Amino acid sequence: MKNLGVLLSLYMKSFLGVNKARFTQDKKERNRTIISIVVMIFVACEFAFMFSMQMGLVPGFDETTGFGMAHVMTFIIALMSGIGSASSELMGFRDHDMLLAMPIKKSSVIVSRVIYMYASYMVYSVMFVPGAYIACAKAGFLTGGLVARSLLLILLMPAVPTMLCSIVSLLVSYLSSRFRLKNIIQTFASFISMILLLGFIFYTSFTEGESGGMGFSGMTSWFGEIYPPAVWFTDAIRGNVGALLKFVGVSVAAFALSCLILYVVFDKLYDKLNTTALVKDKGLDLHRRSTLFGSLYKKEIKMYFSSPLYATNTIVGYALCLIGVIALVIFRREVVTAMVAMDMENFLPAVLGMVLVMFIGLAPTTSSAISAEGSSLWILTSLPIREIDVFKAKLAMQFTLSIPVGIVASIVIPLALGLDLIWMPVYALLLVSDALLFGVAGLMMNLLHPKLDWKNEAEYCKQGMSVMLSMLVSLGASLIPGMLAIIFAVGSQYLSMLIYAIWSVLILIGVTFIYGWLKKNGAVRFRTL
Amino acid sequence: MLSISGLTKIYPGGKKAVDNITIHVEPGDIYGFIGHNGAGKTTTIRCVVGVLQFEEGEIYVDGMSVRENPFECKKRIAYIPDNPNIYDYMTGVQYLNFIADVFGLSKEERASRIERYGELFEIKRSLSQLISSYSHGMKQKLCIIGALIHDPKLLILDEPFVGLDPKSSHTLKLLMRELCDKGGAIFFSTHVLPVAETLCNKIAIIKDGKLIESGRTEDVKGNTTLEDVFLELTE
Repeated sequence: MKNLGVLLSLYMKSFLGVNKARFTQDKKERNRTIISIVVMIFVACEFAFMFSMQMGLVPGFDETTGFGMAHVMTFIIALMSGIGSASSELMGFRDHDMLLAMPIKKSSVIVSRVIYMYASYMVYSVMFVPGAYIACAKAGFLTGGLVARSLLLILLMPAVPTMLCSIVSLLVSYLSSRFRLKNIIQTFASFISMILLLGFIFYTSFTEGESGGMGFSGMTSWFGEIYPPAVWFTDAIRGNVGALLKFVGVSVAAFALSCLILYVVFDKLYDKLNTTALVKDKGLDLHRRSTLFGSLYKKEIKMYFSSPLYATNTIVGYALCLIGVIALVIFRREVVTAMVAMDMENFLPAVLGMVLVMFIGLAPTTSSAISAEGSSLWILTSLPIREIDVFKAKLAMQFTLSIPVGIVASIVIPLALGLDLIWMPVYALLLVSDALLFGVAGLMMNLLHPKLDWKNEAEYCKQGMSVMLSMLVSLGASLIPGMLAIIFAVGSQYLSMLIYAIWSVLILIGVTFIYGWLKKNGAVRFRTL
Repeated sequence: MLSISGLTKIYPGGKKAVDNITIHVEPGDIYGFIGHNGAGKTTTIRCVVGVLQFEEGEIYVDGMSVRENPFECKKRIAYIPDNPNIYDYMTGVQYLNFIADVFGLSKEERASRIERYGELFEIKRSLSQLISSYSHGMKQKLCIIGALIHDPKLLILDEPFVGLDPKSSHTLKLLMRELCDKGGAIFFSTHVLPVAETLCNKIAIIKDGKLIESGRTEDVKGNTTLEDVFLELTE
């Protein structure tokens, strides 16, 4: 493991473009990176504070509530985002040949890749854990022992999801590598894996007795029933040494197993994934012709489905939305009963609106669409193609996914839950306007923070600055109107409707301004890439 | 056909990659651009094709400014970079159709040209395969076909012979002459001095971003070889 530190520092240098910002002679680029990092830290603190406030409202709140919730969310989000992309993260490095041609042990390369993926999942725990600390501090639970135990446990949280993602994703890659269109097959197989996982989560959360998936303690409770280490985790937080040792043991074993599996399959699978099978020559279809927009749009679709990591990373929100809609349809009686019991009928539509917007904006394709061009960008910049035509094709790709999902959700949810049917056009207006916003804002972020020199697709579609900033935009776009709508729902749900309608109009005005920026400043930025 | 006047490119930090370069390429010219590694050849070429912005000077293609009218200039130019990074997720013919769509070629035009160039470069059978299965040389050939398919007036090439087999190199030279005989022009950079000596009627030599010699090949090399002149000038 002599070179493990060297390899890890190599990967760290590409994280968030920090090393480039450090050494660049371009002061504007450096300032942009610094400001973006500061904004992200600020928003992360805000999120932590809000999460801590939510924790404080949970009945029976104790020292395990916040950490338990953070554990659940980290597990689920890591699994969802990694199940389709882990194999690309582990095997899709462009410097692979260079590294293995050097006197670096394969085991060092393997372990560094697993740590790299592990560290990217740690980001999810960073979203929730600070809030748990704040909530515990406010309630007077924060002791030195709790801090020490929790830090160790938090460090180990991503271990099991890393192992599960690696196994499923490598298996999917192996099976799909037998086909010529392996990337597309891998992408769809990953979608199916994700949908099955989400379906399982929703099914168990709605059918596990008292722990009906409503509220934080319910969610933690059902999670403990299907995943025993979650119980060891919360017991360890409380100071149970036996539980602590069990959790540490299973996490270390999971990490070791991930490394071992990758070590065993690496050589064969790498060859299979990085060679393209030839097909019999069936002659050329030389008479196809498209319009410029049609050609650019088809290119975007091909590019999207050729990258399992890019596709699965950006499809998560839409998959969540659709599966959630299906789950609400299937379990509508349980949901309505629970809402009535908690006297939340007025709040439900407002909450749903907030959650739907969050799902739609989770990972817009446009936030990494420019970066995805990578070293092929010269083709678009050297051809007689107007920049706005390139942008339109990339936006069309994004809207192909987001708008139909939004419209389906707008129609099905009010019908399924027996809401006032005026919610249909309100949801439709909200989700479509937000889909437009996330599209144009994502593209703007990527033009301001492109990452074209990536060696692994995860660098631009998971760790890119533009992706992080786009997530913040979607958080803001969902939480601001959502909170207002929930507050006003106390009076009447029609006030919530009005809030969402006004917000949608404001969003559309914002979209117009951002589109104008893309046409002028965005085009100039694109030319300078 | 191509007029570069006082071109200066300064990278952030103050480094002058190209300093006050002036070159004129007339119709019918095969203009060679030679220099040591890091001299500024690729930077100059990227400025000409509109991929890189520049601070000072002007570049005109067929009388139109690249700065003010990049779209119209790009319609007349074809560019082949030194690294053929193209869309691995497409087949060869899909990539060529994409280029043809951008230039609005008719079905008949693209079909006949793809057939012709595919045969000449002996990759016609591979055009139905994914580009990810291509070797470096095959990708280079595909880039060349993509550049020629829309019958450009000005061909800009950055080290085009790297990675090409001898037969394909010969084919490319013939096609370059053919383009110039039809009234077009070629501006290309190369390290292969014998090729520049035999192929180019005009030469420019760049050193550390500055043009140190330019003119007709016979005038530049005089009674010696181009290699001797180059080594002497760039010492």
